[in-house]
Amino acid sequence: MVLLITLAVSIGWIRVRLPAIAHQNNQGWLATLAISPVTRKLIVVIQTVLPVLVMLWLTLALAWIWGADSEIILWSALIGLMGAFVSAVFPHQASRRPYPDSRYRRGLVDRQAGASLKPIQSDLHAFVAARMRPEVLAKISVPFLLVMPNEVSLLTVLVLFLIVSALVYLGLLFSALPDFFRASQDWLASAPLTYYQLAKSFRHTTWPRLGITSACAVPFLTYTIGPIPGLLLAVLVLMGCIVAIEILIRIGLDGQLTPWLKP
Amino acid sequence: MSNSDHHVVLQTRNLAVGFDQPILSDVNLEIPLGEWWTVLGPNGCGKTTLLDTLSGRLPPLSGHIDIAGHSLLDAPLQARQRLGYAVPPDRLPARLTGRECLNVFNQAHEAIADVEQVQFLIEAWDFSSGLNQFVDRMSLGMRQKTGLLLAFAGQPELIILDESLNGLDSASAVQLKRFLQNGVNLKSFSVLMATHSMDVVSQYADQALVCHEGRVAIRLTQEELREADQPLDQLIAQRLLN
Repeated sequence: MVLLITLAVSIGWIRVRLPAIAHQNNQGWLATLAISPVTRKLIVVIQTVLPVLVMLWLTLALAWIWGADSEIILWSALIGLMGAFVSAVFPHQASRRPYPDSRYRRGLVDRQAGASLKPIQSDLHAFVAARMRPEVLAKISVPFLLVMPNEVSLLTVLVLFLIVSALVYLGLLFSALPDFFRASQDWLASAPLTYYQLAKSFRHTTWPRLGITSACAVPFLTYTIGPIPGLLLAVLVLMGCIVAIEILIRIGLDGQLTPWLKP
Repeated sequence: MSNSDHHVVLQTRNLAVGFDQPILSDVNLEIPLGEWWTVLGPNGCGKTTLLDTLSGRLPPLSGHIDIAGHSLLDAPLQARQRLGYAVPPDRLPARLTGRECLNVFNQAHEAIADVEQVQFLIEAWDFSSGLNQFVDRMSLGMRQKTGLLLAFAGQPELIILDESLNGLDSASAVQLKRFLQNGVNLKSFSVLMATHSMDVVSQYADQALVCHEGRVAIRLTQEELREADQPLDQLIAQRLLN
């Protein structure tokens, strides 16, 4: 974990500070290196892989603490690494599809008098969401289902899934905060939006994330309780999360939270 | 919206704008409904900083700003409901389509669909398919058009444009100027526009403000603009020397 944090900080430093320092000290070659296409590509790849590695690390750590079988841990690691590899190989194509649009076409989007409001997608959000698309992770996971050993309890898997999902979900949500406030002070600054309205728009970004966590759970659930019950349980978890968020939003709409959220 | 001739859509009192230090000070403006004002001046004189402050993107260093009778500082939501600001092309969010940007602004203005003015511009520019593209795939002109459409969401009374003709093809620029002129004549809105285009100033403006050395140094009325017996830039240079 220390290594991952160090890596994340280093990337931020290389991207933001290094060119400035090199420029101030007249170190042209350093700036050239920092902004060269190869370095930028490398940063993109590491940025893509990093969240997957964090998820993987958390899963493995929890599985180890729980005393899961070493073979399960190995397969989990392989699935995670495959996901990271595929995401890193196709970053450009994935970034052109920031969100699974069918999710909105199916009517999950907030519709106001016929006009659908898609999420205010921050770059970071779209970046992460695009590379961790449920269908990509599900495709990678399926072959491994056939060979997974059946030696771990359902309770262990469920608890692991819930903890990892909650951590990943909260992490992604908090990662949106800087973009959220940047948007409110930049291109949306002249619009009469309250922070509350802005948050309402941003909530749509949570749905793809929930889809991702559900998709991550599918292999484990189908392996432990069978394909159909596993899929159903994953969908139920997803729907439960959406309903919970919607209830919170409705409470806000009733005006109980609004006074505190106005700028 | 009031159609009174004396309805003031923008009033500033002792306004100072800038970041740490004032770039423009003692700015006192009073723009009535149905007038087209322009802001002129060399690069870096504070035109964009002034417009950013009037549109709520930057806090003023001191002074007051009222938009259609609502203080931008004390009642920002009411003030912004009456304000339309053309978002600069480089500030639009890359990951949204033009249509999605417009939807966000429509929702902010509690408009259930595009207002007539926006629909008119989309049709005049033949821009309905272009609006469905992601912003980061748009050309400069297309992004400029998207930003302009956002300014008209919700039928605002004051339209603020910062060099918004840049990047537009000549046909689109002419359509926009005619559209603005029509809106001003009908007293649907007023326009405050920063520009370097002297033909806009001489043909359309009711008043021109020239920023120079940290203040609004010259104000030229419509009569002075129309009846000038020399090119405008020469007239301004002469006034500044005097």
